[in-house]
Amino acid sequence: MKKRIALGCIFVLIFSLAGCGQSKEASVEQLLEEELSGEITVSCYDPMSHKEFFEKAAKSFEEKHPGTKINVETFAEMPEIKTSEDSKIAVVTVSKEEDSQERADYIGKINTELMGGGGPDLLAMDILPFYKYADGGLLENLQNYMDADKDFAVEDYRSNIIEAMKYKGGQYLMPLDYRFDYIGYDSSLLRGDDESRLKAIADRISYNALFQIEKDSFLQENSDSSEPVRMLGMPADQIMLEELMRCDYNEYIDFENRKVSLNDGRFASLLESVKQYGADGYLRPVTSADQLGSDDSGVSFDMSALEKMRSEKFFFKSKSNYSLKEEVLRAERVADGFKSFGFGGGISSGDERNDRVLGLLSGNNGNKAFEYFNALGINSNSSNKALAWAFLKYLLSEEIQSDPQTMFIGLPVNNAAREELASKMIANNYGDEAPSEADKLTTEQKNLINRYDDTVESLSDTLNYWPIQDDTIKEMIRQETDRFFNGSSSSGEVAEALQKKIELYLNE
Amino acid sequence: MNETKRKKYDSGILFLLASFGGVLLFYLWPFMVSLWFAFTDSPVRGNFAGIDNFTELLHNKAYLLGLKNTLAFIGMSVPLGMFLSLIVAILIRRSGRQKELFVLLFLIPLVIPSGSTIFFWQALFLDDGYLNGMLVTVGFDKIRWLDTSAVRYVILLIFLWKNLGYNMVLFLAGLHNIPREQYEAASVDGSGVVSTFLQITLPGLAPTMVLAAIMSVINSFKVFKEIYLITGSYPHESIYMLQHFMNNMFYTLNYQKLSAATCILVLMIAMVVLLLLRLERGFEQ
Repeated sequence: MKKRIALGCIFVLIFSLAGCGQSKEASVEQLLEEELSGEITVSCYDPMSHKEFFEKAAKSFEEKHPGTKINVETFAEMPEIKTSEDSKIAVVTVSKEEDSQERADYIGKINTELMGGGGPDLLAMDILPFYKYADGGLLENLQNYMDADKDFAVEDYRSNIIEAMKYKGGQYLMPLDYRFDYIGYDSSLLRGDDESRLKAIADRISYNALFQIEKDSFLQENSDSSEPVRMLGMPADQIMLEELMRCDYNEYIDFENRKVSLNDGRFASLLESVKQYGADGYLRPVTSADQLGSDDSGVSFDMSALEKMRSEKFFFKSKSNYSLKEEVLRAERVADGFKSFGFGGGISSGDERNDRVLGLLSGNNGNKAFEYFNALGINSNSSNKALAWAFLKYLLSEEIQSDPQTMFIGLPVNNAAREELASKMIANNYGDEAPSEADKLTTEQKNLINRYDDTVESLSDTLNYWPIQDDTIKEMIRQETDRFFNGSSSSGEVAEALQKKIELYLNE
Repeated sequence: MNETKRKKYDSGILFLLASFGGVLLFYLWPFMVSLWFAFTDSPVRGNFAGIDNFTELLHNKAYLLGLKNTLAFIGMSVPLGMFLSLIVAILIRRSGRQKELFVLLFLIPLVIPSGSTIFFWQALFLDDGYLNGMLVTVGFDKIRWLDTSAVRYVILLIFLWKNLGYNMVLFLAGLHNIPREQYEAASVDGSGVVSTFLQITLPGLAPTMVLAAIMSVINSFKVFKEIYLITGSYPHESIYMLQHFMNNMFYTLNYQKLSAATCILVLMIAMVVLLLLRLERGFEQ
């Protein structure tokens, strides 16, 4: 009797486990031949920059492909939008407190769904640890789809951006856009041959080199001026540390090989450099403006403080590519004719009237870093991969990527769309209602667009590095380095503690 | 006669079936299914990987660190916890009228939810917490209780605070079961306090001690809840436990390693329990 029961249990177990085994799947070529139908879900954490974009694209895709349905799901709450106004200026602040629990809940939810053999068909990698999914075989290698799809030509897109996002030889992420920061300088503060010396290092910029070149001018400027003139409008804290680490991130934390090198002295000296830059007066002290948007900061927008910040002068600025439009227009001396974006380079840019573009910050190995706002991966569990790829391709199309209402933050990876979007946005700066045809543009506008395109493209051509980000590691670095900046730990202690923690995290 | 025996046998099975069904459905079955993951190379559409996951696990630094810390913590907390609770039980037994009050006091930590005590522990041990405040007041330097190896003692303290009462109740019951006549006989024979303890109390408590040891080992795993709530998923390396490893494996989707680690843990606990039960049998004989 006992033997029979035991045998019965074993049979039931074997049959149930057999269900966990591999099932034969259709090849990518076969998938791409399938007629598009059915339903897929796109999931993203952040509703602010993603939801509207996906929903709009989903609607037009469904119209083009009857019988298909694209569901868009988001997780986080919408940020709070406040408007402060006085007679001269209106300031809109969009604030959302970083909720680490909410982020962890979203990751937990997606993980559970993926482990259950399901999950959304398309995953927006706004906060998800994509490299762990890729390692776990949970994401499709999109290179197979790119190779098999005759309608997809990688030359139509920013191939250096797509290439730089490969992980362990596979393309698990498809960026829809990209953004980068460039280094600008205030030409009114330069003396003698400073400008030519700066331009000589434009291909390989480092903060240390910039500060060395302008050291004398900095000292002289500050001996003449009553208001301190800083080298850079950043505070001497984690923000500057991140800026210094960005291009060499993989030298400190190598995700592909799970190697951490934070205790060999370089990271400790990086921390000391940030502190030293602050002590030398190169960087500005932490102000209430740094706390703006934080609900518990109790800081509200003060117009007089805003005006003061706009008048501050800095030798160098780290600005988003978003500011390039203003930079080009300013350089062409047509500033009076266009609508200003206001803070093109953000609060840390101060007085921007004499700003010029220098180039991109470069890492030790010549890395030039970029980021993305939107990048997607296809879930390996998806039962409708053909539709998922088709929708992803549609999101990359010129039609979607050239819409200024949805692609307002990053630069489109679609080459034609990038050019078209630039035309629309620059023309719109003159007050036109987004002209869509090139013949409506004036010669002056066309020249400006060409100039802007040249600047964006020449900088974009050199982008070759995407530092993988991980929420947990970022939080570890923030917590530990905070102890260094508030003086309770030495740089060596922080480096050692981080080395152990991150090594443990990556090698579990 | 045979018919009566058969009837008894059948009804016994019926009674057992309900509880066996529950154990099978909610414990054994999920364990057997998760066992499959331990022998695959990927949680989704995985292939059979033999004992690769186990081999990899035994070379995994994080797992070995967790294992070392867990064993060190058990080795430290279980004997210390049992010793202290035995002392407390003996003292309470002798305390006379206030006995109920003391029992109640020591049992309170068992019924307080972990989440609500976390604020207290954090307020006590944070860099700017009460304890450091007191140290600074009396002229000492601050100690980073939660970010250095000192955190090991913090966790030990929390474990003892939480579990002292549980073992104490077991020992009180054990002490109650030792016949009073044995103590009277020892007294008549002129036995001292130490001799009476070693010759009568300790052997009399042997079965209770085994039970207390098993429960302490199990409770030492449960202290993870407090460690996690105070120090998060990646605490100081000295208190990174096996549960950290397993919890993190769940969040990082490495179900293969998680299942392999579970198998080893189940095996280890089973061996420890068998060893303790064998010890108890030895004592009884």
